[in-house]
Amino acid sequence: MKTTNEHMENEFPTLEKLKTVKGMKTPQGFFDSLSTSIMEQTVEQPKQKKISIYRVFAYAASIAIVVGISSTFFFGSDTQSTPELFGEMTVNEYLEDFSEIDLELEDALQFDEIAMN
Amino acid sequence: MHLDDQDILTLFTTKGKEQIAFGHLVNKYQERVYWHIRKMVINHEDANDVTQNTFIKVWKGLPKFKKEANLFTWMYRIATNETLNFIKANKRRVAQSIEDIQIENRKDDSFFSGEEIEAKLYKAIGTLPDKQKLVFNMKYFEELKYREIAEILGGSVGSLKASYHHAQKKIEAHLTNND
Repeated sequence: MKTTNEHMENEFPTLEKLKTVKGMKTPQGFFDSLSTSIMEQTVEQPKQKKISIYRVFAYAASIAIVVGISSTFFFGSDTQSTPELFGEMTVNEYLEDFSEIDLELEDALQFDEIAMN
Repeated sequence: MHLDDQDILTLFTTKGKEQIAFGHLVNKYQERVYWHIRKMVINHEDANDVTQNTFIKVWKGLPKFKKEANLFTWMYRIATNETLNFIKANKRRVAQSIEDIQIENRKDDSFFSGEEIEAKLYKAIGTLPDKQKLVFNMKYFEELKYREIAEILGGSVGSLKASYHHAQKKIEAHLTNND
């Protein structure tokens, strides 16, 4: 029975002849540098902290929301009541209101004097 | 002296020894992996890139590698996939590399030397379909067993034998017809 090599020699003589050729080559010392290069890539680089623009935006947005809410909480009641109590009241209306109180007070005093006498 | 695959794997699972183990692995297999890739992509720089990518994938995949499997077969499979992906993404470039194998002035080529017939051989191999080319290279140059080739590429031993035979026929014809 023919071995594989004998079979090859008969059927593919050129291929058999060329079996030992090594036409391709590499630069000198290539495999030393290859292993070094591969090993360098396996060393974990310390992760540099990258500042993401989205993260900055998220922080800015959350700060703005907190500031907004807290300002409403601290100043909300004043800013709402002020226009109702004073903002829409003219100076004359204010004086009239107080003068009415004074008149009422005067009337009351006069009534007391009459009662006393 | 190279460590046994099992010893490399055992060393790899020892905390703090991963890189030492991987260094042994690279030194043991880098040439075989490189030549396996180089025979497919032809160009040295491309083979260098693909080899490095292959080993980085091996490094990343090693923690999940099951000890029962064959390390060599697993690495060859990664190398083969990387090579085929490279060829797929760089069809023109690889075709050009095959075309560029110098027949005239070949002695000036720093990455290729030898007789005209050798250059013809590589050109003839270049005409084969990728899978057939892989089978041919693995059998003819690397002298792997059909069982090993089947583990790497998949398929039955019978179909691989047939594929190799067809490849030999085509190349022999190419070599003799173009004298």
